[in-house]
Amino acid sequence: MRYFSLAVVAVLLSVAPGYSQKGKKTAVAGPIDIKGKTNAEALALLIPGMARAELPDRNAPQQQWQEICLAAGAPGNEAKRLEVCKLMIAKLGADVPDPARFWMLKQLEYIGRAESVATVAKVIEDPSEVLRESAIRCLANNPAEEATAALVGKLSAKDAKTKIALANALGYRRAASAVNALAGELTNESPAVAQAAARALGRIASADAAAQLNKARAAAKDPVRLWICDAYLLCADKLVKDGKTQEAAAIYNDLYGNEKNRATRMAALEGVLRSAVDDAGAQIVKLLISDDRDARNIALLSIAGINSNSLKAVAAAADKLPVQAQVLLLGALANRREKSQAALALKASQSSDADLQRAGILALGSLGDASALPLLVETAFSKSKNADAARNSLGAIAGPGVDEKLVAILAAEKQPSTRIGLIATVEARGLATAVPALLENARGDDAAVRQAAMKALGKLAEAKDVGAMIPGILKAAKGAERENAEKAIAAVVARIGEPENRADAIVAAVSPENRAELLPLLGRIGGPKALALAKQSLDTKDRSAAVLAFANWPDYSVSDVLLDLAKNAPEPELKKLAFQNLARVNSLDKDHPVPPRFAVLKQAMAIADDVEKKKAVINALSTIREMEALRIAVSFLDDKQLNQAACKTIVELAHSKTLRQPNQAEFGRVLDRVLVICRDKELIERAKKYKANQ
Amino acid sequence: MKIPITTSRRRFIKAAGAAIAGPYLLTNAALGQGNRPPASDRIVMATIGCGGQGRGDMGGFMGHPEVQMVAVCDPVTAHREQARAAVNRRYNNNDCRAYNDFREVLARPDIDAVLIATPDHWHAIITIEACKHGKDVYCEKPESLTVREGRAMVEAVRRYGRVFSGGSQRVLGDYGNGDVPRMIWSGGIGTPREAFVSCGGPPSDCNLPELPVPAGVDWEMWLGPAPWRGFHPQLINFNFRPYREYSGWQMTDWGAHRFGAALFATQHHLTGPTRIHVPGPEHRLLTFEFADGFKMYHGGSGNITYVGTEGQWPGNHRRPDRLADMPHYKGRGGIFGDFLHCVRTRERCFRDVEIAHRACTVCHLGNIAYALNRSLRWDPVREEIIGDEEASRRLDRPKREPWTL
Repeated sequence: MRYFSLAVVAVLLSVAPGYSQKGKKTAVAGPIDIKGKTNAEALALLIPGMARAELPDRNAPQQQWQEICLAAGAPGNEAKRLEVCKLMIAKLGADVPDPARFWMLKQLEYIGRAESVATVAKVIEDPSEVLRESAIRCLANNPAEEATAALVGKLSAKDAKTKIALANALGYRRAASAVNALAGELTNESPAVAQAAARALGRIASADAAAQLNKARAAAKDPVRLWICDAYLLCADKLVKDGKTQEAAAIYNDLYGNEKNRATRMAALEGVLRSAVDDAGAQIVKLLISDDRDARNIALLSIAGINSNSLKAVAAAADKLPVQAQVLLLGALANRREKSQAALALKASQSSDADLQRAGILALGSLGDASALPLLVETAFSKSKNADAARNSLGAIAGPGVDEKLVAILAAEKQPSTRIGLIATVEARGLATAVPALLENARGDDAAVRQAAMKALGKLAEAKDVGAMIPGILKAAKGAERENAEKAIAAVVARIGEPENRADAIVAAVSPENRAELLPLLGRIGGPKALALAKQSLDTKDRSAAVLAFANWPDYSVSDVLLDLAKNAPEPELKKLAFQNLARVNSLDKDHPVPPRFAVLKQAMAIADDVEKKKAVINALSTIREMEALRIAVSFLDDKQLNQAACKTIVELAHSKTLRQPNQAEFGRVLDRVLVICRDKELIERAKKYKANQ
Repeated sequence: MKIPITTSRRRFIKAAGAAIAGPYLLTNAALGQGNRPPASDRIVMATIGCGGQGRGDMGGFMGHPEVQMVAVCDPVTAHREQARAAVNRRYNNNDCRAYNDFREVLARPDIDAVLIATPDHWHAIITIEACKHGKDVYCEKPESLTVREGRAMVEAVRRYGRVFSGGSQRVLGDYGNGDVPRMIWSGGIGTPREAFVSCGGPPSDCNLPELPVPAGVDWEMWLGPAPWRGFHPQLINFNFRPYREYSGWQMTDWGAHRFGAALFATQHHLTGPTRIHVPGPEHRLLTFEFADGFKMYHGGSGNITYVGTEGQWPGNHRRPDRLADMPHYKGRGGIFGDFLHCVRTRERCFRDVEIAHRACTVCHLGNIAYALNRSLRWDPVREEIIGDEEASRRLDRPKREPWTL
């Protein structure tokens, strides 16, 4: 309902401004008042509107009349439909403006029946090509048999263009009674007309159409012959749909055996296989070992659709096929997800032929079961050339017991490199059941294994597992491993619905001994409980860790703490760290209210005492969509050390249309300067675009 | 028995059809570049439809070393020349040919596959013609303009033994590497009962002013099978989609992605709804109702929301204990890599033509229901609207001569 009623509005809006030929914005004429009018009165009122001089102005009256027609065409409204159609056919004469006639023909295309045919058929001879075309389309979609008769009656037209349109229309409506008339055009001297007739007969695809096409085929020459064959194939396809498989097979075999054109023969071969049903398997095997590569390809594609008996026949003969055919056959079986042929894939995966072995390993991903896992694991994490194929299959293999066995293999595996690979596998598979094994690996002695396990836990663990992940943090070496481990826990707690509870498990685990280790993690999580603990810790021996926690904070809520530290911390390193992150947290959330963030950044600029600090603030200004932010950035354009950062911020601010467009003149002047100063090609291109108000 | 398979793999899998009579020739400049496969293993392609999407896809295909792009085609000179320049830059030569008429491209025997990125009203005709000429097809979404077009595409692809991939990378790509569909296939929300699919609305009639055709635009060819109307620049510069003469607007543009994704994730991708309810007192949103009781809605927050018997996504889904066997891309490099793999192996693509057709059918039925403002009954096996003749007439459109399916 919403879209129906909005359709008119949408059109009006879409054409409302800016489409005048002279580039002048024009108002679009609106609907006409037809409230309380009969349909006849409404149509009389709407016709002039449907033919208004400007196309956009026609829209409202057109849609008004269309709504009436759509309602009249609904099931059970026959009397109303007939009334509306009769009103329109009375107005299809040349005394009515063409645009209105065009629109009424469009309505009749969907709701007209027998009553409309004679009048619409007259329009096929109208001087207007648009109306002629529209009338033919209208009759093509009219279900009344009278429409077929009318279209056939016009088929004697002299010009090829009209003949083609009429033939297409008869094909469109699958008009069985038009077969003889169309067959007469198969020998038309114009190949285009003959082609249209052939295609129409192909769409009709009745027994009569097939007979006529076959009759014409004998004497036809290319290119018409190709079209006749194509249409004849369509007739055979229709026979298959109707369950007349043998009759279809006769056509396919005839075309495959007797036609010279390669495309025709291959399409016929596809039909031969499709109609062979239980015998398709044996024929596919023959084709797979033939010299005809096109036929082999058809056979391969046909495997997707054959029945189980035929499939068994193909599988039984697999050993006898050449290696390259076996490779492709395995792909086809895998594509069918034909698990009954898992043994074939397993056998191939142990072949001495490299191609076949690889194909077997790949096919196990779709066909294999739990018994294939040892082989896949051994290959996947070895130096084998097929390791990538095995990893691929390990990611895809599915079935009873597969995931349980994978987790058991991970739990029992000793080799670190294999464990890492298995961890990546269970991570990619998203297996929650692997969490206990991952926790065990996360607190082990091998750093690479620990890192892989924590990464996987970040994706798979739940809130209840966070406590058990903390030993993984404590075990992680400081630096990249520790940071990644912290990010993994942060990812897990981010899935807790209530933000204020996200730090609970970690806060509960904090002790004087591990506080310094866990504060940076708490900083990544944020929230009131973490904030309280971090603030308390500023006056303890763990002050540095507390500052690091604030430096990691995920939102701007610690601005005041960071600003205070940036101003007053006695330790130079902590002061610098606080400053850098002051700028960072105030540029994190662009949707957060601007005034408080802007105020903090202005204070930060005031205390920035070196180039890097100033650059950090200038960069952060790009998130403040205020003209004052722009002007501050502009003030650095003459500073050789800061002007590139200023250019970047100016371009980012210009990206905001809501800021730029009301201030396009000022932005234009600033962007001119950026184009002179900036050295970054991408920024220059963007600046040009924004300057042109794009 | 000794089998005389001595040809290269490319020759082994070379397309069926009359158009493959002779070996193709590549210039010396195109041979032996860096790590590219030898010419005998390359897949020779052409791009038909060289607007922004076409050029983007073309760049994606050219990023695969086995692809040799040799031709571009567009009735807008500026588009095709931009595309030709991009191809020539990529290969550092001047070998790419530019065409106005796709039929000339399809007639070239050296081309294995075509990328179709034309406006939607051309997709079916070019796909079907390409199949007849022995070409494999990668066709941008929405793959069809009407339900009947979609079925005709399926039949042509099958009849001529071609490989087809639709161009919706978002069925898997929007959700990690298919993580969400796989979670749902694996029971992460129990049995899916509902999906809320957010995309824009249906199209409207085109009443843009008619302007003189500028130089460098073959307007007749651009319109092709669509009803005749005068030129407007908006139409040739991507913004044809709001108008039903050429597209199904957002219902098919984004709907082909998102309804397709929801159908796939809930394993309804090879069937269709049985009822389509328009919004009203009984149904807040346009509702597609399936035979098994599953309901898919047009609307809701976010892109797609899935509700199952044991959870929902986004929200309280659980991580699966066992991974389901779910089809995925084959080969390397996402949906392009999947297509190229299947061209080599003759397997069916992830976005096979039947799956693409089923996704688009949902979009088209939604548009018909919106246009008529009434609910529909649909037979997904026979692909027929039940008991509404006017609605049934909207399942297809007569095409302007000389074009027909």
